[in-house]
Amino acid sequence: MNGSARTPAIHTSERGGPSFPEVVRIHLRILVREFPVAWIALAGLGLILLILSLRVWLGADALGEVMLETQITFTALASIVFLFALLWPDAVWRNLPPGGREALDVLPVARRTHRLGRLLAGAVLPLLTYLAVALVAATLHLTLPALQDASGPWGGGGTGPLFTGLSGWLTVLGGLAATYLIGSFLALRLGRVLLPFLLFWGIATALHFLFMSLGSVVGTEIIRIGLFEGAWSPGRVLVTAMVFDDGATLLPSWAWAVGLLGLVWWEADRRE
Amino acid sequence: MLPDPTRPPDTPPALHLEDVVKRYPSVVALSGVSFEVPPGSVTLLAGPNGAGKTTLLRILLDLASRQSGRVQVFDLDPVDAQVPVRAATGFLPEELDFPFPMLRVREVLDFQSRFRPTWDPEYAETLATELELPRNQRWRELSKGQRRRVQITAALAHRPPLLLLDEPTDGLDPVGRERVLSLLATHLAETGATALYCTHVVAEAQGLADRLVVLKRGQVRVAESVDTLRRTLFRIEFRGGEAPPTPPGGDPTPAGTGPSPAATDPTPSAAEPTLQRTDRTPSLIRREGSQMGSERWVLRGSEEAIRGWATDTGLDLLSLDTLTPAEAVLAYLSPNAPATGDPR
Repeated sequence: MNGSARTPAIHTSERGGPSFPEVVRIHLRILVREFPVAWIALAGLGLILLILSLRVWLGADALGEVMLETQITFTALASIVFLFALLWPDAVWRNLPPGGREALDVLPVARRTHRLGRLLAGAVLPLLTYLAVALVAATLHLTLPALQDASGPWGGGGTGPLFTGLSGWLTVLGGLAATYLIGSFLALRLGRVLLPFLLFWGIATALHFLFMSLGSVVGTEIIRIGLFEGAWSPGRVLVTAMVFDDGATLLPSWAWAVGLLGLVWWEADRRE
Repeated sequence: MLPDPTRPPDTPPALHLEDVVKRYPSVVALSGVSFEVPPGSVTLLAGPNGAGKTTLLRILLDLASRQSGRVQVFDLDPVDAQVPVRAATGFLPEELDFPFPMLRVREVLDFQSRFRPTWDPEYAETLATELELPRNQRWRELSKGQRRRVQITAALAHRPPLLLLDEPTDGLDPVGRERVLSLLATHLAETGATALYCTHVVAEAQGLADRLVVLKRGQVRVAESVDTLRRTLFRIEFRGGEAPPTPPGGDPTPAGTGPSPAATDPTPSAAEPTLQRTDRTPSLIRREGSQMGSERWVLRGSEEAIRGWATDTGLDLLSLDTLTPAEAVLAYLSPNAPATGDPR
């Protein structure tokens, strides 16, 4: 080779990478290829919801009989949607653990753009799951107003405030977004979700019982309100946001979502 | 810092590193590394395991941070210009992993092409054919060599002006190595790309090289053009009587024997021929050992200076040969070999 005689063929300014929407689209395609079962499961969920709706409509004359079934099914579905939003990032980032993202990082896309692009592509499936449940619930509420019950799905006989009104939709969406973002942050930072999540709640529960057994009212209340039951507590926002649509959880759930987005934003540009 | 003599003064270097320092918690990976790579040249980056070669490539792409120093790729700092630097670079990593192992080879290439606006599908097809890629096989089903060949195709198919190659023939069988090296040579000749080629196996890539950079324990031992090394690095075989002369620049110990007292006490003994050190005086790079009463040394200096020095000191010079880049690397990696050459 004769180095002095040659010059670069193309100047760097002529080159760039894809835009953020294009990055999201690329990763969405990859995620469909990576997890075909997850998308089939989403279709299965749609089918279950359709059957449930048909049963409610067909049994509208004997509403009291189908209410309990509806309540149990919706409670289970809402819990599954939240659990899925928490654990799904583990799958999204499984093949891209901390220290193993070089194959993406060498591509001509800013590190943050690339990671947030995949994160957003990963959010599509939980969002579709949420929409499937929400649309069926809303349809049922509109067609069968008696299905609602003020006491909510955990008690009483209806779907409660779940997905009723804009506040009902947004509270669940905020809680879901916060749940997905905390799962994504743990996956990005630590490469796993379930273990640190369980560890956190395990320690919190152990502390709670420790304060209780020591008769420390202050300690017990701090843990109970701060972590489990307070309107701003992670337990309420991340786990049970959908059943507390009394207006008090709307702001905390979105505040958590925005705070966690900031955390993920910062983490997404961290060099490994 | 002296500019590279082969580069016109108005042409910026393709790569410029100045006093780059990279520390990990338990080790200093790069300690004041400085060198330049002229545009269009092929530079071999050689060194033992842990010398800092891969870390250096990672810093060039902003995959790893640096504590201090200046890095420029086509006049751009990779930290501030992640996208254009990566867009201009074809990177061949040492690892053979791909994060989406369920994708078929054609899908892997399609994935790459979506990120590279300058991707040349026809050239990718040519490369895939030449490298016999199994297009319908999934990544997880590929052998090491097949994975490497897919990576090479992905690195070259967008015709980048810069190639960063980390052990490009790793995982390939001998026939595959030859094919890849030939393909690289053709690609470099046709595109005029600049290449920084990291390797342990210098001998197989030396035919491509314009320049040689040797790293050892995070420091540049030598950074020179191959032409300069050919003109200034020689192996001599001589008979020098009972006490061989001690050339200036210390007394590098034969490989594997550890430092000798002379290395810490450069004062020649009364029995040894002494030299008045001048620019024309050769320096000792490596003692390769003795055999049948003769000694073999690697010296740095012009041929004329070495012959003159041998005559002055009364040596019976049996042979004087140039070194291949691979031999030069070995010489500079020997214990106590001095760092020489303007690293830039």
